[in-house]
This record gives sequence, C-alpha cells and structure tokens, in this order.
Amino acid sequence: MNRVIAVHRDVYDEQRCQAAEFRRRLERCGTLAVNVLSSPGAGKTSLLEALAHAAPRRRAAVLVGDIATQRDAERLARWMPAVQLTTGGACHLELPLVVRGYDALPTHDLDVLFIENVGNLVCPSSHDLGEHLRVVLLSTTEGDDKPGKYPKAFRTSDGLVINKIDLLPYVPFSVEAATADARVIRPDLPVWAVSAHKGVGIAEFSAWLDRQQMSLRERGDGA
Amino acid sequence: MHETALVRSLLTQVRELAHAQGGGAVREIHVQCGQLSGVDPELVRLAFQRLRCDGGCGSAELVLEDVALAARCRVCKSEFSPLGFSFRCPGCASTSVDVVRGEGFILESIVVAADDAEQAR
Repeated sequence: MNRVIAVHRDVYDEQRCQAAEFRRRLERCGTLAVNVLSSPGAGKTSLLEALAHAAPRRRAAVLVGDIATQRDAERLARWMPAVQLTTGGACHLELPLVVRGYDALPTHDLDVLFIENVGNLVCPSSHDLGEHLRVVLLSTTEGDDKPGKYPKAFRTSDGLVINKIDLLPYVPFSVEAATADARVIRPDLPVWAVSAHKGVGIAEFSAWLDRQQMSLRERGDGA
Repeated sequence: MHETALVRSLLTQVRELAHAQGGGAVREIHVQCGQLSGVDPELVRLAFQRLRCDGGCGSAELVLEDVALAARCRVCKSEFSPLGFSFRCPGCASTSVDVVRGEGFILESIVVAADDAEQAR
C-alpha cells in the first residue's frame, strides 16, 4: 500500500529562510540592502556612480555581479568599497556568493549595501539576496513596452528607475507609457526618470533611498 | 538551466523527506508550478527525466500541475485572476491586493511505496 506524505512547501523556502537571515544580519548593522536589476547596459554601474557623487556622505558599499571581468567593481571602487562577484557563467547572483562578498568587505558599518546584479531581467527575479529593496532599471533605449514582458522582475520590484532620459529626443520612448505599463503589474510602483550620465533626477532617487534607510534604522531602534 | 538546479534541489528534498518518514521507493512527486514562479514547467519535466535516477527517484513519476495566478483584494475581499498580470482589483480598482496563488514552485506531496519488496529494490 502506497503512503502519501503531504508537504505543501515551496522548493525555494530554504533559500528564502537563509536570505531572511542575511537580511536580519544587515538590519542589526542598520544597513539597507538594495538589489539592482536591469538588462545589460541599462546603466546600473553608472547609476551607482551617480548616487555616490550625489551623496558623498552616504556610507555605502557595493557587491557587483558579472559573469566575467572586474570592470564594474574597479569603476565603483573609486567611490566606495567594492567587491566583484564573478559568477563564471551563472546569469544571476545567488545568496551564498553575495554573503561571501559581504564578508570580504573591509567594513560592515554601512548605511547602504548595493548589490548590482548580473545584467538580466529574467533570472535575478527569482532569487532573494537578502535585500530590503529591489530596484529595477530600464533605459530609454530599451523600449517603453518592456515592463509587461518581464512581469516577475517588475512585480517583485520596489522601485523603477528609468535611465538615459538625456536620449529621449532621439528614441521613441515614452516615460509615461513605460510607467503605465509597469504600474499594471505593480500599481503603486514609485518611478524616477533620470540620467545617470548627466546627473539628472538622481537627487530625488537618492533622497528616497535615504528615507528608506532611516526607516530601517528607526524600526531597528524600536525593536 | 535553472530548472536543472531546481530539480536537483527538489529531488534532494524528496529523498530527505521520504527517508525521514520511514523510507521506501518514491512513486510520485506532486508539484505545483505557479504562473509567476519564474519556472518553466516543460524544462522541469525534461530536467526531471534526466536527473531522477541520479537523484534516487528512478521509479518516480513527476505529477506537475500548472497553477494560475490568483489575487485577493484587501479592500473588497474579492478574489480575481490578474489577467495580463494586472494587479488592480477589477471590482473596486484598489491596488491593495495580495497574491494568493501562482507565485511559487510548491512540493505538494510525495507518494512512497511502503511494502518491503519495493524497499528491497
């Protein structure tokens, strides 16, 4: 006689528990972790450079995910402690590599830990890296109909940054259309239109990050 | 590619569960694959065929159910299907909605052979 063993457990549950543990570890240091997702070339590294330029007193560090090279970490190291996470082939970051990268940072006394994910709007959506916020970046050269094509990335994100608005005169991209498309999937999604290259719109996004970090600190102090 | 790692993890969890619950050959593995899980059910089936023997579940059948997204409005309490991934309540237009089904890749249950002859194989 066969036996039925009821389980009803998500296969990803163990990974999520470990991610939650890492998230709590960061909270104990008052550190807000921000996972940045985008397609390759949308401007994740440039955005983080622009944020560092706009808020030089923010104590930040970055873990940069790429399949190969140290290029992005070398760029960002001019602004903040940076550890390159080289996946060697994986198209997304996973928690164990992120934790090893965090442990390799010279300091954990941080306001914000940025996690620059591998350029990919598909696979990173499924992996909790212990972040408090997930930000998706979309550039004006990618098309304003992209959000609906990547539902999981946009559904799981807490903010949308539309980058390269300096190119709007030259590309058929509507910030309003992209915003509306993203808000079908995530109705209350905050959206910022920026040019990381020109430094436009960065201050507002940076201020939002500051508020999120202060809220995290207040929640931690009140606990 | 991810489905391979996912199926490996699934098979490990199934083996551990079967062992913890008294052993026996695994006959069926029942899984629910959510519409927004990020998992491709066909790739799961292919990976399962490739990996089940190495995973200690060589005689197991994978029973995979596709689960559509379902959401519930916190304001008017109605449940709806987010057609076109639209998460605004069609009843009251509220954006305060929770996903109640369709985001996960759930190991629902396993069926294990319990007789000694099966265990001996």
